[in-house]
Amino acid sequence: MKPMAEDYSLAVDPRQRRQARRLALLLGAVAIAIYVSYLLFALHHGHA
Amino acid sequence: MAHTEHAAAHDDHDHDHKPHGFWKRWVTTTNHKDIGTLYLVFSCIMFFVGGTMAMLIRAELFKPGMQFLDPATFNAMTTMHALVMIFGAVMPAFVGLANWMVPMQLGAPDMALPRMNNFSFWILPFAFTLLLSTLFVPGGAPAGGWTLYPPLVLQTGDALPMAIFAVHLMGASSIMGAINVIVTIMNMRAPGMTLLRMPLFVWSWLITAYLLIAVMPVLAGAVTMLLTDHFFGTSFFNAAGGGDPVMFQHIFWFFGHPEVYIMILPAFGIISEIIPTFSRKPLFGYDAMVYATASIAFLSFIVWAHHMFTVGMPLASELFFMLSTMLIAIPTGVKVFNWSATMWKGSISYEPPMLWAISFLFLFSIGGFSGLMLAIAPADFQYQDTYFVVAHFHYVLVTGAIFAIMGAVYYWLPKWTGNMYNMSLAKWHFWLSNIFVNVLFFPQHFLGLAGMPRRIPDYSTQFADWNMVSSIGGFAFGASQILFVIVIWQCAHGGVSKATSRVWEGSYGLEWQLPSPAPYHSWVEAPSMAVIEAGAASHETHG
Repeated sequence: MKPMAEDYSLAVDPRQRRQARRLALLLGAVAIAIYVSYLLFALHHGHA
Repeated sequence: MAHTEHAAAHDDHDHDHKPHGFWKRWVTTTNHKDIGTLYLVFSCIMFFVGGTMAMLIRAELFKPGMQFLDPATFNAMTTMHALVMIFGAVMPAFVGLANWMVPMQLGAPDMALPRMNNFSFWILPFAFTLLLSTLFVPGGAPAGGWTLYPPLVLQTGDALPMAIFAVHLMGASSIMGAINVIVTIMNMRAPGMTLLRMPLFVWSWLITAYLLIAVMPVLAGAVTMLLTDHFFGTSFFNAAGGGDPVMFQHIFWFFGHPEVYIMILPAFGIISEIIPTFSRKPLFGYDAMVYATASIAFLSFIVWAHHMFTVGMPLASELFFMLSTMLIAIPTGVKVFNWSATMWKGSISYEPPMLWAISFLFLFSIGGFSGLMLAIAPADFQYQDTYFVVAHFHYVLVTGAIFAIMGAVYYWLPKWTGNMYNMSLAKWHFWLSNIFVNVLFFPQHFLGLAGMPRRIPDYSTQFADWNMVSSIGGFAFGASQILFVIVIWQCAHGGVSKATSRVWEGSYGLEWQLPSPAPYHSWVEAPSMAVIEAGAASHETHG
């Protein structure tokens, strides 16, 4: 058995790929949302 | 064991897939073990870069008066030392250990997102080249402290945007690494390995990864605002424009305190792996350890203002942050109790990893106790910005985080290389480090209590004696680390003997079911429940 699938972007079992991609995207979106919300919060409170 | 033979059979097969040539093996690699090695080597280099800066600081402080550095360079050294050690040495070391061990401990073939894993690592050399190159630009490197407080940091010359971009890059790397760890743990556990059967190291990393995702964007937001204040005319932190410099401190420490736990929770996980192995007993109170780790992570979000009691805040706020900080002692106490209870009546042996773990237990507790002293708001007004604070956080981060990293390397090195290292040289490294780390940092408590401020290149003659003692400890501690490199180098190049798959008599867990060295592609087929339980069962017979 070849150790990983041909697609090296994901090492997870093919049956769980959609779930893994979705979780990774969700976590990335959370990080970006926190970053943007801090800037918006500071702007909104008139400090800019 | 059947599964070991099975894995060994795969070993021969898997070696065929190891890429040949430097570029393919190390630059474009997607293999979790190679990327783990890259992280650990990078961390080691940064440890010596940051250590060299520490030696310069201690040389300057060896006696009163100005010796080697001008004040601006001294301040740049303290700032860069912290940034390099935190973001370049300690954090990448833990990510390297996670890369190596999390898939092996879960029964997974690799990290979930291998290409992103490669990208996460290769951002770092660029980030630190950029950061360290600020030493050579007009105006010098950032010198306002690693906390980057405005308005002081806005006096930085050409280095400011470089340092801010470097911090953004480090943050991006950390967030991608954290996403990878979470997706791996949530999707790639071997069948039957429920969350509450995971090794404590994996648990501590799962919680740490969530902390990273929650707070690294906060740091990025804070430094982005610094950038716009400096270059685009905003006044987030400029009082003259309606902003508030204290707001930066709130935002920074909302990141900064969880960051401290990002650097210590994986250390807790490592200690929870080492102590049961060398006590030959299962970990006492596994569930309590998981819940204590989660509690510490939660509390880390509601204590940030204890770093800034002296800015002036309402009494109710001071009380809240004082009491919430003290609460952290409870889950931390649970951990120290459980580690001690694991050792209680155990059949203990004192190989190097266990020596580091025991030392961690004692010395990290000293850092914890001085932390409790600092948590008391009225007392903190005396301690603020003194060497007492420097002593406190070095006990937490050096004898806490770095000692755990040392223990982890000595614990898993035979598994990585397939060779046993020179035990007596490793013990020399341990004892010299432990004696001199205390000579280095313990006198700094006395200096702080006597009123010596931190971040100054010169000081009153009343502080001369303990500073000289501290500097001698610093030089000897720094020199002792050369032994660490020698031990690793020797081990990687043959060592003193071949390691068995289990390496340590009391070891248990999936990584020890693999041959030593671990095959390039391990767990190509998920291990069965019987394999997962085999380690635990054989461990219990020792108990």
